[in-house]
Amino acid sequence: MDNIIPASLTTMPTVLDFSQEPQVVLELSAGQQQAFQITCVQEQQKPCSLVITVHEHAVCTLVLQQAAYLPGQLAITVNLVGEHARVAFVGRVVTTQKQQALLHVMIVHCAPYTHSVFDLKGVAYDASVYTFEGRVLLQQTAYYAQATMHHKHLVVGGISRVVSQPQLEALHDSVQCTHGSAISYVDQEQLFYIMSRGISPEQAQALLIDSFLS
Amino acid sequence: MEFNKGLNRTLVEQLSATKQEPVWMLEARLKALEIFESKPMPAWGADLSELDQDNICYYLKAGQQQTSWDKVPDHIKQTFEALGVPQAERSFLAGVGAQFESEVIYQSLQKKWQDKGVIFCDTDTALQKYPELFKKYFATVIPAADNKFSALNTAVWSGGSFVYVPAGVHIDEPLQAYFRIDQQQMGQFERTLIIAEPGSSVHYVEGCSAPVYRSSSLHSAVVEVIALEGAQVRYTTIQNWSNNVYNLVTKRAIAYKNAHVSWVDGNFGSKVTMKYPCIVLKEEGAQGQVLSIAVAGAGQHQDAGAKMIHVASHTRSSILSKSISKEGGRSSYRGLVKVIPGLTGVYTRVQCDALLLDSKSRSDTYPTLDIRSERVDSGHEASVSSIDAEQLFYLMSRGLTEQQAQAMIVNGFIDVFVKELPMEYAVEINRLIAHEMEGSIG
Repeated sequence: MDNIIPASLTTMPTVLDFSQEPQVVLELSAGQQQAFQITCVQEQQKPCSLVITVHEHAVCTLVLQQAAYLPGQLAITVNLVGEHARVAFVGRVVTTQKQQALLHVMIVHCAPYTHSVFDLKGVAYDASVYTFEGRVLLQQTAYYAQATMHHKHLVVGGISRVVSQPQLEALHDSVQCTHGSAISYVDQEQLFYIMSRGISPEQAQALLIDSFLS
Repeated sequence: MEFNKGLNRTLVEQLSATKQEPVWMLEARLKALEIFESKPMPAWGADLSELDQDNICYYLKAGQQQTSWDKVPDHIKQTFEALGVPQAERSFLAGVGAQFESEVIYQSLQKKWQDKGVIFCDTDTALQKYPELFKKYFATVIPAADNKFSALNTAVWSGGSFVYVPAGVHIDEPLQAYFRIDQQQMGQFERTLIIAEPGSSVHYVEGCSAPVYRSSSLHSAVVEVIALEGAQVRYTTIQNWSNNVYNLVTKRAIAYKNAHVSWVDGNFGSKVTMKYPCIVLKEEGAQGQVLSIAVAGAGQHQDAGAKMIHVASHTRSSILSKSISKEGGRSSYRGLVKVIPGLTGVYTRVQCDALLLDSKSRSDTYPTLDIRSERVDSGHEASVSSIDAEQLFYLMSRGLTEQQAQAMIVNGFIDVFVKELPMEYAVEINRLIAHEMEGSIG
């Protein structure tokens, strides 16, 4: 499941810039393999949305990197309509100060042997609020579909808030799906270990956060 | 006095008058009725559109709910047979007679409890005999305005258990609602209140694995648990209502300093269940645990889950939910873990495992983690799968039939839950699973 992204795809992604176009609708035809990098360089007031339909044997890779994306409201819908259609999502998000961000993801498995992998990691600093609403729907026609959805978030700063809702709906018994969500803080033992090597607490924390997001 | 179907102010006044309740209780009931009427039906969760509120009898007096054995559906009688339930108990569970055999046991146990200062009686009696204690705690954990059905329960509650455990008293054997022989114990709108004073411990058990047949279609109970400093409370429920019942229950516990509360919750019957036992971890050192299992068969929707509200530092909670869907049934886990700002040392874990036994059935997971503190370690995991073909093959190669092998795998799946039950319940649950599996897979 973890190796569904061909290495070549991650090197040359197509840039989807929501600063230019807040509503994007895409379709991947049969056998097409495409990677997209989601960017947004302007703070968005309006919610952005992305709808992707993936046909048989097509592979869609979505990359959301914190360096290229300013938090706001983003809704992503992926419809896996053809057999063996695949989607992989990798997201890294950071919220600071009083930023409020909402990521809504809906992955619909409509066809047999479809795969989805979703991996979101984030850090919430200061007084920021991050909300993740994920929904994986495995329809009755999605025989032998496989889906995983993982969300990990670090809370750094006493008044930041993280809400995680990874929802799963399975309508057929041949499917395999898992989801996991973890919200935690920087491991104090690891922090102590690095500090014992002569590194300041701030640097040690930054080091651990970098490694978490890498 | 006859009570007609439907709900109105007059009925509530009559009900209160029949029970000779104090004025404050009547006022609380009437206020709750207003709240019930003003709140809309929940738009989330299970489908309640077929629930006909006007066609429900909101109060049944003792004797009024008896029906005839012939009217009890055949599949319920067959399950009694499979579980080996004695005839007298069958009549009681089917609502056609009272359970008198346990009276002797109950009285001897009650004497033992009374010597320790423990109060264990039905809630109506508690209101009459211990009005001060009752008023002090009633509706403090779940106010009438909490939700539409807690308002309904507050307006028309009848029966249920009242448990008071004095400071430092440990009750060795589980207190079973089954021992109380009043007719109202399995009523529609039970109100249960459990108060554990500092340093005490109690295990309360209600329900049974045998099916409980009722012709009425709504069961809406409210359970309030107060675990004071260092108290340990465990509340075990096995629910197996007949498949025409809407089971909409509100359960909540407050755990004070170093208190430990656990809900052990089994949902087998009913048409629709919406039940999310909640624990508010109010003071430091409090711990909460929910262990739940739901089995959804044909035409059933088990929408069960748990809520943990952390409002103090150094609190811990864990939720383990197992669900099985078969014959087109739907089981959902719906849960919430909330941590308020400014806490440290909070630990919480949620695990949901679902087993889908056929292609018609459905399983959903709707968890919410709402974390507002920095020093919190929280995690949620869920998985949905069918019975492993390799495990099935292995067991069948040892001479078991497919059905026996499937029942054994399902029993293994829910083993964590069954281990937490008193012995006699555990045996019955295993038998019930074997019976439920008959002809259900293949």
